[in-house]
Amino acid sequence: MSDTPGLAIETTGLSRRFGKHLAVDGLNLAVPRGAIYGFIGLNGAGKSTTIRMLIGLLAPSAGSVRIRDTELARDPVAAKARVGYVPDRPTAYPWMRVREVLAFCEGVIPSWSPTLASHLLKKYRIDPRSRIRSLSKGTGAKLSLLLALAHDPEILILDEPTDGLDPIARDEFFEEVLRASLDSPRTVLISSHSLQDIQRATDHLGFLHNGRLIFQGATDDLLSSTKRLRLMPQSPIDDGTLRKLSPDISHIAREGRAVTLTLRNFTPAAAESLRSASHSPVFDIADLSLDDAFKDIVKGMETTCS
Amino acid sequence: MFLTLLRKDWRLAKPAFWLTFSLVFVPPLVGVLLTAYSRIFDNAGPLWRYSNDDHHSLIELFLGGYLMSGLAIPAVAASLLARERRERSHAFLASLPISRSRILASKGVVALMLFAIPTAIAWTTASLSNPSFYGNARMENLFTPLLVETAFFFGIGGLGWILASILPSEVLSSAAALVLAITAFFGVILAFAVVPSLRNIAPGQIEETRNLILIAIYCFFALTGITGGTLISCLRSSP
Repeated sequence: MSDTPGLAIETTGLSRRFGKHLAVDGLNLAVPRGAIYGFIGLNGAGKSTTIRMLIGLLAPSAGSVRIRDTELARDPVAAKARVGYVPDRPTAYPWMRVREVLAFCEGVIPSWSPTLASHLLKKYRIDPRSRIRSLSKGTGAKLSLLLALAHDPEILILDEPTDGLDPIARDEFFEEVLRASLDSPRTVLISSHSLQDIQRATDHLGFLHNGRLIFQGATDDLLSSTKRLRLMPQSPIDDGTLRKLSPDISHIAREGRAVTLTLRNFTPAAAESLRSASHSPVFDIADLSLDDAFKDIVKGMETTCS
Repeated sequence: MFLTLLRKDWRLAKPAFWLTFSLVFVPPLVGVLLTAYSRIFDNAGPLWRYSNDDHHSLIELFLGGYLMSGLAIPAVAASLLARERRERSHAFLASLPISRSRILASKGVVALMLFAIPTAIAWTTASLSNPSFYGNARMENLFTPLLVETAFFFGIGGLGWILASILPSEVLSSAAALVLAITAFFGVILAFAVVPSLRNIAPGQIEETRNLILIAIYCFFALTGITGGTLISCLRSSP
């Protein structure tokens, strides 16, 4: 694997098998330095398995993970020292008090900053005397963020951190993540089901489907190059014919005579050729939200596979 | 760093340790109270002036307590390994920049320390007591049963260690270690009643042979359990 200076996280052929089930299949993830990377996929797509491999919680069946210039398998301690990890729910010792877990981290993480920890403790309004098991979900998520940030890591990895949080707590949490990425130059990889938040926060995206990366690139590129076309063909036209007209059609939906297409790598010329080939006098082009783009691309993958 | 890990592991194992420790002391304490009670009723002089028989009974109760405390030893191993997995704190620990060998070394040191404290107390007590209390001045009459107890103690600890590194539940791993260790004990007793070659041993040598077999079995459990459990924890793909 080459030492790509621009990448914070790089995986090559990363795979993980659980018995006969291939949960992650030859993943080549490339997270640029300083990016806020949204890692998106349906339940069971392999997001958490991938993240667990990225932070060394799970050994890959094949492939490798590189954190900046350090190969994770070769020097896990040095690689983990660059990463702050926020799990889907707090995993710090539930029987400890907040101040005890902070003291523990101070004792075991050489780059831990007590000043930063106490600053974040005040900022997130966490009572240091509370037992971790008694914290609310929102406060628990903030504590996980604090524990991940207080050693000032270059990379922050968040695995569905807002799962189960109410909308206000979720907003607050995302605000804090964004602020943390602005406070110091930091790469953030975040997986979340909340695509609205992902669209708002991220500048790069990776779509995972059935353990495979089906899209990777800049959020703006995806949203500007993926459009929804609405055609009204004068004579019936089947899906196969449409797909032959353009291989970039990722999803087709029908409502009466109207056909709605999701077109990737959109260009006005490609849209015009579709319109003329389908003899459609009515022709609408609409932008897609990330939510719609993701759904259409995944549905398109499922149609293609079936 | 290592001291912080040790402190954390000590706190993890503390409840199980106190259970072990109290099991060592509860039987002799009950013995002291019963002796005091009987001396009051018998009007047998000051409470603290024990007869030789009282003294021997207390030492036997103390060593019985040590044997009983062995039953709680798998819980110490389980609280160090299985509890971390049940509470998912192993994921927190594994995400920190600490090597897995250091994490395991800390757990191993705490486990050995907690196994060693009751053992040291039992051996010190036995060494300081009158070696003739079994009615025979030969030291081995006291120390051979104590050696069996110590082997049992470490054997069951080793079983607890390997089972806790495989099973995610403290209760299950402790119970399985207990069942295996006790089955081995009764298996040996049964073997002496059933296997012809063992039945033919001269009556004077039966106890010694049985003790030696038990010591060998429990030493095997201890060595394979501690080595196997450590290797499993080091090499497993997910901590």
